[in-house]
Amino acid sequence: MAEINEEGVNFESPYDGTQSLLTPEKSIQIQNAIGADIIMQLDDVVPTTSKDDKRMEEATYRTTRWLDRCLGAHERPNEQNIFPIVQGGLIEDLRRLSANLHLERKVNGYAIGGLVGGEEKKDFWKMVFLSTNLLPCDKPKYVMGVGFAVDLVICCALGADMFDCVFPTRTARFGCALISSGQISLRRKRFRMDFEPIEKNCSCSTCKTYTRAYLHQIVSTEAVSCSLLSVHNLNYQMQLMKGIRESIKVNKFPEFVQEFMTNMYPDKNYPQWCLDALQSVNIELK
Amino acid sequence: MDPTQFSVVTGDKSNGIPPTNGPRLGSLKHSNSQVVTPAFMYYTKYGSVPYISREVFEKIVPDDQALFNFPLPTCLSFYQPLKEFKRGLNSFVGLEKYLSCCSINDYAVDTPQGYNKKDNVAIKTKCGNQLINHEKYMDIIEVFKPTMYVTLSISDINLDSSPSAIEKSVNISNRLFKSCLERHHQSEVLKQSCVIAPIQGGYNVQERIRSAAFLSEYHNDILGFLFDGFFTDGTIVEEIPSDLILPVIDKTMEYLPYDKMKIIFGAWTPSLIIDLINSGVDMFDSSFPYITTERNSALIFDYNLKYKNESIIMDISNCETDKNVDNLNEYEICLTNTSHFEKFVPIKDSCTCLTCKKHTRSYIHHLLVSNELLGSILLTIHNLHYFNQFFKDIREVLTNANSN
Repeated sequence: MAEINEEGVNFESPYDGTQSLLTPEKSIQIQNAIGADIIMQLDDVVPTTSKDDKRMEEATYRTTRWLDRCLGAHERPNEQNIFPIVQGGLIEDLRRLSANLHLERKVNGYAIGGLVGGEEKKDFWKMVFLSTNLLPCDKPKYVMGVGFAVDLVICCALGADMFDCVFPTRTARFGCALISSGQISLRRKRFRMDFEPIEKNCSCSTCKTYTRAYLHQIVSTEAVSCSLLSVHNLNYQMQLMKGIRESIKVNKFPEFVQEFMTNMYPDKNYPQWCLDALQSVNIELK
Repeated sequence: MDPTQFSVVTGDKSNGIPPTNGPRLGSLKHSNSQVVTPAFMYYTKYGSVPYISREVFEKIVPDDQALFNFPLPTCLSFYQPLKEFKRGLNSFVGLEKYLSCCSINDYAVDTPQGYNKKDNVAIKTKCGNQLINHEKYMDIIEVFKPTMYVTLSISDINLDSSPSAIEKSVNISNRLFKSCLERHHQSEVLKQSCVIAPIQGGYNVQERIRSAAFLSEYHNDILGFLFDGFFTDGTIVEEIPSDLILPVIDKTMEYLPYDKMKIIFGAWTPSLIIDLINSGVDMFDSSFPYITTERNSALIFDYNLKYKNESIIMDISNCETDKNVDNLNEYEICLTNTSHFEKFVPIKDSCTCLTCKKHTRSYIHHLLVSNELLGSILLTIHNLHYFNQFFKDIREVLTNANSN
């Protein structure tokens, strides 16, 4: 459905087969019209699971060439910020190269892209850490596509500042609610007689009014359930990020991570990649 | 706490004898809640207004005065959990502070006929038909604890129903009414709940009268009457001609006590709603705005209401400017129509709803064609607001007529 060449990305409509070419210039023209504060360069992304190192190298260099075309086409530089995207797949040298090339451009923040595409977590965290280490301390670093609670906490530990993900709302539409010990699927029969809120002490409007039993009744049938669970899941994630910020302010981030991980893994069966990632920034889990 | 009471506030009482027909203002009171009629119940599916959480509903209807209708086909599955929950249906679905009514049919969807067995009524749920007798039904009502409920009945009658089917529906419904009422009187839990008597008889005036006359004998035991059994397919109610239904309503009305609430459910057009109000109907439901939303349309009709010769007269003067739009009917515009692609205006200029204050037709068009849930949410906000305003205006005309 999409074909990539130096000029841009050629999309084919799944409806009528018509072609439309998205060039770096066109992508910025559209984003200038939309008017968001942060806009993204068009990048050439190769799946991290790809074995084609040559293609990965081409994509890494092309991403920087497209970055320059995007910056050149930007018509509202005083109002909108283009974030370059660090690419390079899982190849350390390419990641380093991509970050270093982008560092030469005058921008207000950076994205770390091309991850969360099915790669192993032990590779994922290393690429995040490598990238955050190369990018400047005084600019925001945005890891694209991260939305699982554990990933958010670990990436923050590794020096990331911003995230975006469809996860909390998409999983809500599938009937899943996020809670401090992970997540629950309200479709499950065991919630039929459960008259507790999704999570006790949760401050969201859904938990103040509705029981798991009622949500169980409507999850697969009523659109309202999507709204109610989205409200809860977004509140969950906002509270999580707030907790991270507050703990950093009072110099208690390691304690926060410990408490968070204890809730997620009460039997202390922490995934190895989490232990490794946290160890790299001197956080030891008990 | 007293159970709910209905009283007629105004009507034509020129000669001292209250007439049976004619538009009137009424008041439905239950502890701190009051709903002034003519009004409508908010249609729900599985305990919620479709697309709208209670939290959003409060923004559309800021005062707490609302009455919700819970059709059994989408609420029956709540019975088991509610038996254990014990606090009733309203509380379970998050609508504790509002009034509620339980009814037998889902009046906004198409429902297949039949499958009833003697005095067992087939409730058509998404998990198949469930046969309910009056004992089971009253068990359910005792657990649901609604403010009011329609007694169990056979009402799957439409324009094509045979005389014998109509006769049978009257016989069984009358019998079921008596059984439910007996059980109601014995029930301690239902002291706070009121009974609505469903009048059957299809389009056969004689049968309607037979049903109405029978039920009217119990007028001291009931809060109101429901004109039931006119259709089985909720999505085609708008197509039922007024000259078929109005004479039946008018004739039947003569056999009903004046001071009881008269209810009719279904997506009748605004014009027919006015006719029905003129015939003395007090209460409707929000099937019409729901069905409008379901076909991606928004209510926009301009109306002018007058009170003349003891009735309300509505002029519809549509000034919808986009002449190229092929409107479905005079009440609405379809927002998936490509003519709205670059219309950077609200659905309705003068509308004060949340949707019209913030969003353009172009944006809603975009949401709807991309199948985004928010499209239906924004449409529901507008359509409910518009329908609500329509009824407010009707009440205002009646209030003014009364004070003159």
